[in-house]
Amino acid sequence: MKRPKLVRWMAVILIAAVLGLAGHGFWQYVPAILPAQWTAEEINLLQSLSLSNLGDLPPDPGNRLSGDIRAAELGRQLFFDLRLSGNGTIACTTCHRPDLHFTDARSLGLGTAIGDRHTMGLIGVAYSPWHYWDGRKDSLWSQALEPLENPLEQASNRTDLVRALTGDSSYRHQFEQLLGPLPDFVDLNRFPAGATPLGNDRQKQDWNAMSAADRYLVSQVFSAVGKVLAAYERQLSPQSTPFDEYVARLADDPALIQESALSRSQVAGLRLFIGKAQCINCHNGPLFSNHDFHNTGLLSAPGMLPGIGRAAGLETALQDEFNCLGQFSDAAPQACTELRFARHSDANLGAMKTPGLRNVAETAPYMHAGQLASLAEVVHHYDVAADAMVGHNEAKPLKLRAVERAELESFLHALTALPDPQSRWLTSPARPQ
Amino acid sequence: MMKPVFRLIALMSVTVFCVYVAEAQGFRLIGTSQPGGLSVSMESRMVPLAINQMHAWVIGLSDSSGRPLGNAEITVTGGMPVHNHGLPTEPMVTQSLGEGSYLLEGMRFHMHGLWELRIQIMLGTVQETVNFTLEL
Repeated sequence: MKRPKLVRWMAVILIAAVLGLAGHGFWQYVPAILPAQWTAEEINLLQSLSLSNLGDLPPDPGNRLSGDIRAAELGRQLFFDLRLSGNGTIACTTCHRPDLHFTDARSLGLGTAIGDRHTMGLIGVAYSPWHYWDGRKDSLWSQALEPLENPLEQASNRTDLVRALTGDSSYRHQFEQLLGPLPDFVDLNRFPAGATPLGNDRQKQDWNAMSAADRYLVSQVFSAVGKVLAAYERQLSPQSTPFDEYVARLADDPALIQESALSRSQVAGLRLFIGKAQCINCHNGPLFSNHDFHNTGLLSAPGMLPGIGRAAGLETALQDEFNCLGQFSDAAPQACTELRFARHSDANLGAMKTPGLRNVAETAPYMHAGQLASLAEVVHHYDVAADAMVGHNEAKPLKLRAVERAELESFLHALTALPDPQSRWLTSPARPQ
Repeated sequence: MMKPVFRLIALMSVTVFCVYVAEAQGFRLIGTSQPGGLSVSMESRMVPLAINQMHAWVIGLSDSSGRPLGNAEITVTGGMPVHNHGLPTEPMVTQSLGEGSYLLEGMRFHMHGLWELRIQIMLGTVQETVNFTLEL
């Protein structure tokens, strides 16, 4: 009598286990039923993300050349020119490749050596008031200067670079059209080879041995290089995506699912993006970035210390000779609102810049040191929201189901735009004679 | 540390006399300070008010009988109670515009949702406060 009872209990337990597993699988992998329509509030949020609401480029008061098309054309030539590096092999485009949405498909940038940060894309970059993952630059023109002298990137130096550019008849002519007559930098006694305030001890020594007036002359032309590069980068505009096409139709038809640019899974992912997954908190506006700085508890890359992010970046920006308040800026001091009203707070500790998400599916890997290889890993990172190594993780665990994580990832593929085949800004110009 | 939801309830009870009017030309906030009952208004200079853009506001201050108060020191802080974070900038009153009006520069909101603004007013040694909330 005992044996049949035992068998019966085992059968009950087995059936319960099977039903439990089946229920768990059903819960994890069966998509939720979508409502028939977006609400008016949701439609407002979706439209706030649309490219049609991008608006005009913000002014760059520190760069009087920012809107000059001649400066943009000159910047385009410099952007592709290998001679802007110390060894003649690295151009801006080495890391910011137009065929990869101006990224490089690497975890860490590779110039003359491997850097310590993942290369950020440049499409729509002129809409952001701060630059670099840690926000150590308060303008695009100032940002464009740093790689030129960074020993891990283009590894050039201020005197040699200015001498080379002003010694090139075409470049000299174009710069003089913008700036007026330029001095001559050929005298190696006044302008020593290899001198820069950011180099090794010998280079700094040579730089400091120059007269203050000569240092100013060199840095003034050097700053103009950044300004024409920034004028070029202002031309790199985002293009319409399937997401934008979808939103364009919502005013006429608020149905969630249409015969449209997005799949059902992508629409479900979009609903999560602006709702349960809270992505829109930081990835907002038509570029899917609030251009601000947040600590999201990222692990440091292997072999690297955790980055303290904006906490250090802001201090660097305030000391930068090429910031908005500096002598090479064209801005009136009161126009430098980003520097004047920047937040000094513990919240800056470990905070990195919110990257935009347009073309995100084609710009792996991700995060400030390329720590995460795929979008699935990124979604998992935010789903778990572990404690931060440095500072405080602003994100909270999302507790997404497996199907929701897949839907969110699916939606991110709807933010890919084909490059504009007509745009001359995406290709290297023929060198003017 | 008070949970965000309780902070929100506490904040809304404090700001019961404060209203905001989202007009076509921008945001205007109107409130009464505690404990002295001063009239405080705030109007955005950015029209329409949008997230992610640095902008200025004009603060208006008058006593309970409507006389403008032009000699106050005003500080503005704030944040999002639901997310438990502050403003992304450090706004400051940079000049008195006369007739009890003050220019507040360096404002920026970087997320959609409910924001709170805490206005602290020093008139000599007397401190007045008023809280506003606004939804973006």
